[in-house]
Amino acid sequence: MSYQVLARKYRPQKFSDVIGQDHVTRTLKNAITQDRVAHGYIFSGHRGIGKTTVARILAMALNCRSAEHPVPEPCGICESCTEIRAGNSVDVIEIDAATNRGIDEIRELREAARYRPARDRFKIYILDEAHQITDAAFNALLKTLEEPPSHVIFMMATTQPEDIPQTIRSRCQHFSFRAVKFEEILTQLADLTARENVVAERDALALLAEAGDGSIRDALSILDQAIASSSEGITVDAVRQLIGTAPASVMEGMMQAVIHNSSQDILQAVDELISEGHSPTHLARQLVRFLRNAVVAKVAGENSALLQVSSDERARIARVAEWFSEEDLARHLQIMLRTHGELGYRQEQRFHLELGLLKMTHAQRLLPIEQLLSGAAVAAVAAPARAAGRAPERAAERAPEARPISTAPSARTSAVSPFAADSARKTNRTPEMSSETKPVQSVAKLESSGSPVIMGSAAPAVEVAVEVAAATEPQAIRDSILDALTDAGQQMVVSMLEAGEWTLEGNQLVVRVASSAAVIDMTVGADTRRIAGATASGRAGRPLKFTVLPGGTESAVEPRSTGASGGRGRMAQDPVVRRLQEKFGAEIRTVIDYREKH
Amino acid sequence: MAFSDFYGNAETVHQLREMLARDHFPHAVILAGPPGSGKYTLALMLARAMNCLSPTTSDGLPDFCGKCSNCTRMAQAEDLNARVAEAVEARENLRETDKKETRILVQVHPDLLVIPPDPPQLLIKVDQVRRLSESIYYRPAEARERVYIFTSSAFMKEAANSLLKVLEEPPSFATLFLLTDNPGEFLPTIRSRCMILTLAALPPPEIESLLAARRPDWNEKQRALVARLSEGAAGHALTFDIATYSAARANALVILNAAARAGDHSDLFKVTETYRPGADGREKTDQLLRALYMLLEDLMYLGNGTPHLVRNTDIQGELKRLAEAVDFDWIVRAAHGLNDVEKGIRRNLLRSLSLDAFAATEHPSRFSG
Ligand SMILES: [Zn+2]
Ligand SMILES: [Zn+2]
Repeated sequence: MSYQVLARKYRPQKFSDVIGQDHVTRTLKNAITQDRVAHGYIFSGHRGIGKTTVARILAMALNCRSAEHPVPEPCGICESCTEIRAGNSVDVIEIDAATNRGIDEIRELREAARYRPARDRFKIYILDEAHQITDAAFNALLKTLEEPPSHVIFMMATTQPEDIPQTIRSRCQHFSFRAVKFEEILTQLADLTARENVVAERDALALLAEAGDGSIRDALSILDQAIASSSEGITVDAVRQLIGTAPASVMEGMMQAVIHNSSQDILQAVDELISEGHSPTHLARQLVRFLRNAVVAKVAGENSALLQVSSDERARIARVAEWFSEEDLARHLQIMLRTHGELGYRQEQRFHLELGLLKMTHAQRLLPIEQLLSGAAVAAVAAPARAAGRAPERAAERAPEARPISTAPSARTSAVSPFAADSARKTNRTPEMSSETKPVQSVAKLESSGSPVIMGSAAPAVEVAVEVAAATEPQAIRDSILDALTDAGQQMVVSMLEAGEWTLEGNQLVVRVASSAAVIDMTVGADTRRIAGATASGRAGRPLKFTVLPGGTESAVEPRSTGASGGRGRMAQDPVVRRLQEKFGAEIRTVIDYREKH
Repeated sequence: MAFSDFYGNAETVHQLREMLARDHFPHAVILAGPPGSGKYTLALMLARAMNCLSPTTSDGLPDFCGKCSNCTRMAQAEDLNARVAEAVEARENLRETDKKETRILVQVHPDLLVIPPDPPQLLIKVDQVRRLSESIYYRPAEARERVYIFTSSAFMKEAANSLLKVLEEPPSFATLFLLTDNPGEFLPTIRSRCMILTLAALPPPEIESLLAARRPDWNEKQRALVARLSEGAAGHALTFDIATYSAARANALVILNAAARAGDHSDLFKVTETYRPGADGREKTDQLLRALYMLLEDLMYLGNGTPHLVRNTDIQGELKRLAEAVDFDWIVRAAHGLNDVEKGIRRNLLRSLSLDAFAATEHPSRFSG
């Protein structure tokens, strides 16, 4: 009702207030000081980590009236700054691309961009959710980006940079935002509760920070809820209830039931948890986290700093790690990852959670996993072909629809995915656009040392020599794909593909990796294929099919040629991480956080 | 009508009213819970408590009088199905060209907008959300708080996206309720901007005692059955249509039996013939799917040592026979197949086609080799 949510009340107004994105803010400040401001920016990264906030601060810094020129840190009090903060500046136009994604809106924008700013130095367009912009509209935007009037600056914030056409990306500076570290979020929560005069238990804040999962806004949003729903102080119990987290003892109990092969204990426990109001999705997510930690404990030891959990939970994790072999833990983690991934789309969540949990007991019983998975998949793919006496064309028609979740990778690649049409669309776009526009195409990379610029160049010009469809080397395509997948947060897949052997075979881009077919299938999902396929086709300038096959040998990870792999390369040297990567495709994001803390 | 009329989930209701009392009610609330758990009823009660002209208290917390002009007008939205049916009928009478561009909305009070999924696709569409974004920044006319209730989480992609911006910076005088069976269906960006409250399933005994009081027309056995089949949702239990469910379940059993046994498919075709798309096709198909899931889950309970969790208690014998004919992998495949059927239906495929295909994929002999 009348209170203001924390995320808005404490929205940073200066670069130095922005949390966890030093690599971005430092570079932006330097660029302003050195008078090297670009005309296009892409800010990408997970939701709620400060992309739009940084865009607004950058707009303030560029238009701030406290000096005769852009300033590295906005004053926050001049007319320009206050108007931008209030969202009513004439020259800083914030557009929600989700609702204004059409060609008409962009044309209008293009027309307006021609006129000089009304008062301030720059006319700045902030396009939020920029990946929503339609192809035609991007095309229209491209014309402005190719020859930008000196007073116009575009800033695009997006969670899916891979959906922004390469032609646009290459004309923008691209900043990849990081997930905010657990400890940074925790500090922020403690600071804000103190400022708000809210009493909060330290462990309660830790739970909130964990629930934020790398997103400041999510953490603050849950803190809002905790403040709203508890009249006297924020306690661990209250937070637990609010975010629907079951205690770690429940997770231990589940895994105990798995090791004892006791299906009835599992079903009984689910029944109790659901009637206590726990959501199946949340339970699945918690179990994924618990199992991942058990894997870490198994590989790196229970005292590993990689385990950021309370001592009680640590003891439980250690016990569970003790009960199972590495392979079993990996298998169970994969089963729960898949179960969790699928729950979001399903109606009968409880049933699907129960099935997922029982699959663990059955997998424990029925070894090896390859047999379990591939057996089902082969049969499942064969099944729809026999259409029980119906007309053959009907059978053909329904085949893709009736195909059950197929589990063999070979089957998956040929299946018609709901994204196929989309990726085909994306595939065709790049050549179309480049023929329509001028062939001036820059894929230059800015290689200034230590700079976080991922791709593209500030100066959208001149390297005409570089052809649009120049990427015939699998190496170049590989880098783009790994970048795109990194941007999409698919660290597990990246770590697998990075170690693979990449070859171009006709119209197929084949990656052979050391993992088994089952592990490939569990790691490489539809999203991955969509992103990889679209990126590959875009880079090669022709449709390429992206295929991951087993049978590769473990090769040393080649560093990517772009800036993105700096931290990753370092991380890959860590023996524990290597082992986790090889064995389980562990969630690398956590590892990065840990390494950077030191 | 007052909060005391709300059955079950006392803690959640208490929490919501407490936030109201402390003027800390969130701008956007996701109310999650199974169909019939009272999400809409509760949202509408809260809308009245926010806007009652002679607000009362009960248990020391805000309540509403139910008699003032705001309360009575808002109460007209209680029978949502009737209001939606009226709107649909009104739309039917429009000219063809206008029909296409008209969306179903329920507005019984200038400051309360109920947004149901728009038929026939039953999705929330961008034009409906536009009505919200056009009005939300105006101060309420006759109430203190503008209230918007989305009764479904099935959003068209564009509609969901256009809701995002509003959720990020809603005005201080507006509250949005987003109702869903499954919070996972919302975009994560929407979820993270809302407070999520769950109306948990009520235990069968609790529902049985509710039914004993309110549905004396059912005998004890029927009440016990409904208490389990309604999956803990009081509203669902009270209005449970035993005859319709039995019919859907009978068909579901034919399909499962056909899938589990080799041989004659003629029964199966008879069943699927009745699921051609039509006026009531969608609802009928949904009921069949729900019955199929329910039976599969019961088979899983029987096969895994928890017969006491079985819901279809009246056909235990038949279920046991079927359970002996199938194993766990079969149930897993059946669930996946069923899920694919559901996806197909969401994409508006011919329903009968998907169902035939489901039974075809289910045949166990196909998996033996
Ligand atoms: Zn200033
Ligand atoms: Zn009243």
